[in-house]
Amino acid sequence: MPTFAEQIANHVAKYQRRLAHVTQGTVIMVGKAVVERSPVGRWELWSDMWQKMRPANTYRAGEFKGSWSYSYGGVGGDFPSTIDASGSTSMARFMEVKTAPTAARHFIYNNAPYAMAMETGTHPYVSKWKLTPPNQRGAGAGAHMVQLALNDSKIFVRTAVAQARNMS
Amino acid sequence: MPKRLMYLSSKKINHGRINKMTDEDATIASLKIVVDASQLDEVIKKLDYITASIDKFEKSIHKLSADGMPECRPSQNKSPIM
Repeated sequence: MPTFAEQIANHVAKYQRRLAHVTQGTVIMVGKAVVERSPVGRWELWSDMWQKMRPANTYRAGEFKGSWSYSYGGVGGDFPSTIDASGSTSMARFMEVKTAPTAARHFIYNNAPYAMAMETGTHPYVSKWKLTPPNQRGAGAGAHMVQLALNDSKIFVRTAVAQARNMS
Repeated sequence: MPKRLMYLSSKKINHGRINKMTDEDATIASLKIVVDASQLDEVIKKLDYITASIDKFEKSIHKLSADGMPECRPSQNKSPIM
């Protein structure tokens, strides 16, 4: 039979695992939401001018969706520029949270130079810039993937907490 | 020139005017979400403190036993009220 100290240590370890699960689960769920809502380029919706400048056979969609990254402590400055329309490469990067310290600031970021334009539909520094219609919602319509993911953040935390409660 | 600034400069040619912009501005143009769990540090420290304290406490009892002091155990005698 474990000693009293061992029993306490086991309880403490369990709570530490639960805390880690809440943090990791939240990061992964937020990341998944933002990747799933990230639009993928649709060449057929481009203007004639842009289609002539960039023929279909030279374009591969999915750079933005494939370039989400994870870091903790501080936000990274990298832009992997990965072409992955499925978003699975980005999801794989988020799994790094499983080896990160629990008590830290966890960052999910995308350093694509047009990232803010994808979110809002307009470029913060370039006047007259409009995003090519994403998801057929019209010119200038952003995907708002970050805002939509944050809107669901409470649900993600509650889900992670509920899952942690079932951990032994 | 950083890739980000090169991209924005090309937009200047194609789409219009860029306002005064620094490297810092270009960095702000990226998207980021922070899940701030740093406050859990206090909770984890307290859990570690509990483990260490209980462990220390239990070892202190063992030490007393090893020194020939009577072990602390429930009395076998029946209580007068039983």
